[in-house]
Amino acid sequence: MRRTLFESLSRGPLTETAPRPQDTDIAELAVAVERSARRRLGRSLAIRQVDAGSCNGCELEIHALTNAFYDLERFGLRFVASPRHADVLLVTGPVTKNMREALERTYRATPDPKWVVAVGDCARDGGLFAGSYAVVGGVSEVVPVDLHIPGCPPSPNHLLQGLLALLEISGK
Amino acid sequence: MQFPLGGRSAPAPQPYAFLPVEGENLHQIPVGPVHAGIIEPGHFRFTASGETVARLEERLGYAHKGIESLMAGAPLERGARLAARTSGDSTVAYGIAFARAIEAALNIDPPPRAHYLRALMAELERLANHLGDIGAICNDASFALMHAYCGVLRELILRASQSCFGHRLMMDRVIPGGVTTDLSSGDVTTLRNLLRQIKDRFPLLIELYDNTASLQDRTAATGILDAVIARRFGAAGFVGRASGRDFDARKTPGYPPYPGLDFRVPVLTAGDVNARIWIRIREVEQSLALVEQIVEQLPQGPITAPIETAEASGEGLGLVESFRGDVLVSLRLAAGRIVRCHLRDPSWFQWPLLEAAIEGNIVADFPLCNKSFNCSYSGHDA
Repeated sequence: MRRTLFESLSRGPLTETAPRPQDTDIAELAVAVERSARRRLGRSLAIRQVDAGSCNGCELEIHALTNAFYDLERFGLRFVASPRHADVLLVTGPVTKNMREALERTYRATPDPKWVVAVGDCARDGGLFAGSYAVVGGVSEVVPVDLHIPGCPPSPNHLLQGLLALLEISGK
Repeated sequence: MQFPLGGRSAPAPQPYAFLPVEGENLHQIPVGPVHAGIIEPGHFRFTASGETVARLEERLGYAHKGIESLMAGAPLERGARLAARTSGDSTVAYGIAFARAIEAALNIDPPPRAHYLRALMAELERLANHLGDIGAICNDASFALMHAYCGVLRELILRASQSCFGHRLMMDRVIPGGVTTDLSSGDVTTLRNLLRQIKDRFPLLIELYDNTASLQDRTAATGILDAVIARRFGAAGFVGRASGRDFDARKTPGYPPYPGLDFRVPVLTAGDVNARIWIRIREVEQSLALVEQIVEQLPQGPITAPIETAEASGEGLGLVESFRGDVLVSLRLAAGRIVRCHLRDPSWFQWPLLEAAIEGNIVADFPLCNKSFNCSYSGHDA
């Protein structure tokens, strides 16, 4: 193990520069902030991820955010185990009817102030699964959503852009 | 009430009754469907005596999207896109299985180059998942160093996939008749560089895993899956092969181009978490060799065969080895549309076995066991 650690020290970090947030994301979030008073939370956000029935593709790319290239934690963003510790709910999936109650309960268990980010095309409106007897059809049908990050699945860079925009807005 | 896909009426839904457990000093631990990490939804009801698990009962279905109902009456292109999203981490394997089922129904033969490109994507998918899994299992024993390094290798594969095929997970790149994207000579160089990078770094990681005694202490003799049960359930993939069941759809019945490629299927008998890690390690080595052979032997020619879908009719079956095990797609076509399509994930036979493997282990070892199985929730629930 020592050898591995020394090697990585000599090779230097793999972490890449952050992408710039998109203006469209900032615009959507600015509207969300107008709607209610949000206290300044500083420069860090605790994120609780909720899979509301996705195919797991979005989860894979969300996982990638924690690898050495994207290194989410350097921005003050980190994933937490409980909604009671969270500032942000990161929701994937079309919202299956079987996950509706769990999503609602998770939302209610998250203390204010909180934001909801819907990740992926399915989370926007059910995507390819819209119209199925088993699917509600979009996260916004179940809980209020502050930001949608489209994609199938969205790349880690797109996810980062959305989350960095959230960080800018939440700090205001 | 009606069953969604059938004509029969359904009984009114009852609250789910978990199996009763009798004994002294037992308590229940409910986990999920929202789990602590970045993971799919499912419910686990543990009955524990102190730290030891007396019984685990799984309750799944939270990711049920009704894919078969969406398939009924769908045109072929929509069917292919639905199949590719049954389980996002096996999107290439599902794409190939669906395409082969269509091709069997319509008696179509994709050109040789298409078979090789499909296998290339399938092996890249296998590599990315296995490398990610090896790191993630170690992470569940708090060995984050392995997770970090394996995460780097997985990311390199995804970037190469993006560069060569236009999508990190290579979703929607396999279609009935062939594939959508061809390889350029630049892409071949990218792949050769990728192989070299993985071959340089992976042996060090194997050594790291093998030499860390505290990690071995967690993985060896944990979550043992009995070989008899593995065979009875037809456990696929690394779950079956770590418990002595040497079935691999690439060998039996086999499909092109694998009969023309040289590779072995590793099998172990210990059946514990350690064995399931070692099977993945050996399969990474085999897949690296396969990618090398495919890149060297890639035949010239077109990448799709023409498909006449307007009045397509017939029945077909596709069986493809995903990284988890064999994926089965069975479908019926009529007048250019899908009448019914059934997608069977390998996890269907592996989920029940997790209940058997965790018995007698401590609750704290459940993440280790669960990750070593890495069953698909979405693929199972469909």
